Amino acid sequence: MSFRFDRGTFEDNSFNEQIREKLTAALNSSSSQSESAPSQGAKTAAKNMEEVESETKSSKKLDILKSGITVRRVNFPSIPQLEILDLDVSAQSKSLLKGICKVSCKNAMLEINTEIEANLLLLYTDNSPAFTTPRLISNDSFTVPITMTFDRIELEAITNIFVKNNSVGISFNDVNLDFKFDCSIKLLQSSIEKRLKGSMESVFRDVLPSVIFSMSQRWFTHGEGGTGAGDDRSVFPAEDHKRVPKTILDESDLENLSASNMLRLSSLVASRQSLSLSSTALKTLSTIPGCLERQNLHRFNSRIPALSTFYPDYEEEEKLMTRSASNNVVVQTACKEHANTLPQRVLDEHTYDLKTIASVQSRIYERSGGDTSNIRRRKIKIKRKDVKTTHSLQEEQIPQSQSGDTKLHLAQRPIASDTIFHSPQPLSAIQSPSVLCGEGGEQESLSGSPLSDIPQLQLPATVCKNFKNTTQKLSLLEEAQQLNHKREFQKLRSSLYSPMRNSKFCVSHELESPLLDNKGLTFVGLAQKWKWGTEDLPPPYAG
Amino acid sequence: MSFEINWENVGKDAGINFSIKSFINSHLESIELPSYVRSLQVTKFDFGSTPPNVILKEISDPLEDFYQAVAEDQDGEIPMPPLLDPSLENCETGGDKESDVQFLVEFDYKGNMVIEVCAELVLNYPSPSFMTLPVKLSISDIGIHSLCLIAYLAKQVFVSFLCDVSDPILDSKDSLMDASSANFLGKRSLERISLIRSIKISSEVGEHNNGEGSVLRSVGKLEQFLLEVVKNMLRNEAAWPSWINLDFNDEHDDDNDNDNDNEDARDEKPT
Repeated sequence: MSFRFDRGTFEDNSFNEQIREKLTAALNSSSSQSESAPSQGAKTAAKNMEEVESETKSSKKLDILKSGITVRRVNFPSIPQLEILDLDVSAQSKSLLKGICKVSCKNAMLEINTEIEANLLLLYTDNSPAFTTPRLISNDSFTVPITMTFDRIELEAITNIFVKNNSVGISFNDVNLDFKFDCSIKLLQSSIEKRLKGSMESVFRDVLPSVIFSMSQRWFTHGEGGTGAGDDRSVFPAEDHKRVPKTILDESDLENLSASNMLRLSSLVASRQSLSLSSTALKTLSTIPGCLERQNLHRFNSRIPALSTFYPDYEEEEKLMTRSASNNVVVQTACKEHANTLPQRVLDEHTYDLKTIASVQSRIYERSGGDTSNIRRRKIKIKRKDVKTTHSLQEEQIPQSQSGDTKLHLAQRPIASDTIFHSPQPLSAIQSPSVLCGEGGEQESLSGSPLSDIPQLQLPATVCKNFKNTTQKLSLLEEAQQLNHKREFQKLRSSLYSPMRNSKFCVSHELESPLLDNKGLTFVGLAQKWKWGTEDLPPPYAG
Repeated sequence: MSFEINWENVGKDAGINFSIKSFINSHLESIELPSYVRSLQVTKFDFGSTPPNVILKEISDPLEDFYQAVAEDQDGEIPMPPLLDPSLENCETGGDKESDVQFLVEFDYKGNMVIEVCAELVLNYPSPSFMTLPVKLSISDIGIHSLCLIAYLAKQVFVSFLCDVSDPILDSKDSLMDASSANFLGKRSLERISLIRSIKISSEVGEHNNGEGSVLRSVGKLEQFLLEVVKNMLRNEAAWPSWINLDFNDEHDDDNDNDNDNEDARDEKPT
């Protein structure tokens, strides 16, 4: 068996007792609220499939039941088995875990006791209007106790289980259910049994999966408190209704928005709506922020911070030079870049620069969406006193190994039992080194800021040459740091450029009044009367 | 310059393997596990026979980032009484920098270390630990080839993995693995370091009992998933610009007893 059940709970009868209590509670609640009854009933014994019977009982919503239902006896003489046949874990958001399980349960027993109405001529006059109700001489009910015993329940089923973000889905594929039914009223026995067995299919197809699904959702959202879940559900929807959507399209609200942000957003929206990329640019595709011509891809790639940009592998570099139009080469270089490695040759020849490597790595980190304040720098305090004791202990244990001693100690240090783990501390925001050299204008604007202390990245001469021509165009790709809080833009940016550029806005001349007038951009930001000519520098909204 | 490691002694000595295993286990016991995981432990630990190749590339002054971090750390701890401890002040003003040092180490390991980890997944419903699912993982074939920075300053040791070094053996393994995944499409951005370039995780789910039922072995997706998790964790915790900081400063509530026999032999003794 793949899953191991706790033997204790089965042996000391506590499991049977628990199931009995929960079944009783569930079945009785069904008479008052027929709608939620199935879920309650199934919840109690989700893993043991015993609720199958409870389902069918509670689906009789008539007043034919004259008393509560009591579960007299539940017995699991053998431990049910749950066996995993296949498992599939995927990190994608669609489905986290898929499994195929075999459930089997043998020789279980369940006894239910209740009272039913035996007077077939009984008229239910409670809800009928008085004028239609005849005067009845005798309309007494006649209740008969009934005991139903499900014996030798044998269940075997193959189930598919999907665990998604916050829910569990189950489908039953191959169900074999067999039980011996015994009713204290022999007259009814065959009829009830036939009905029960007929409804089994829908139970496994519809009822159980939906019950387990909703139950799991409650688990995940409200913790594992299964009993209080019903109350929670009634509270939460009420809160939801109170929320009123907030509109921010007042005149006064718009004043607080950054003008240049709005312009950028609106041009982006416009280009997406019209699918016309040229509407956002003056002349060429490459002036659109975030839009790249295929033939410029290698330039762009060469600007991506990666060790291969700074320390190109010699062979790979040759390939790049002789690159043809075929896609293979491009793919190859992309692959190469994916593994961000320092060529062994560079290392051997000592042509690397430690600070360069460090800053490149930092920048890749920033680009990949890592917030600089979230850098994990775990601090492990080591009280020297205790280290010494463990150290000496170690020596006693293995006195014969000489060299092993020091190495052991090394391995030991991080995991010493007396260390204190501090929660991740954002110690410092790593300042990104200002961008690549060869962009004189930007470097100047940086002077005086603390960033200027950071050592510049030095490009190999060959790469620098590449950049000189493209500087003008690529500067349009700049993003301002003030956009940091704009979530969507951050995504766009992090996929394209390094976020840590300049502390000032760098809006280039791609924005022109004709553009704004002609295209009928719908974005609200444009309602303001800003007119920026080709030469005008935008106001420093950065504040 | 590379270190010569007498790996024979370590790898073959069962005592060392055992003591490391018990050490990890005792540490694992002290960790508070989530309710659905129980009895996490290392059942086998074997150093293997192949030693790591450790080459000291460079000895230099520590990078500025470390000093910044130390300085900021000290600033952040204003509530502590720093004035009572003149030695600490000495460190942070940089008056005692001679002993600061930074090693750049090339770490290359393609050995046959084996670690076996066991755990139990628990379902606590309807009764505590009602149903358990034993999971066994065997980790082997770890391949690492990276540059590692080890800096010592202000009585603190900083360990950070800087970048990977290209390696024909490991790179070929890597590309095989990536070809099947979505990384190929450029969906994911460049990762700065993978640190563990190759690893083999073989899994065993379920319990074989009395010849009944079956054990699920080698769940490929699960192994891939775990590999990603481990990689990400290491990358987040120990790869530049993150680092692990081992602080050898005395606790403030300690009565400042000076153990001069510090292992690093570069103890900055308070004067």
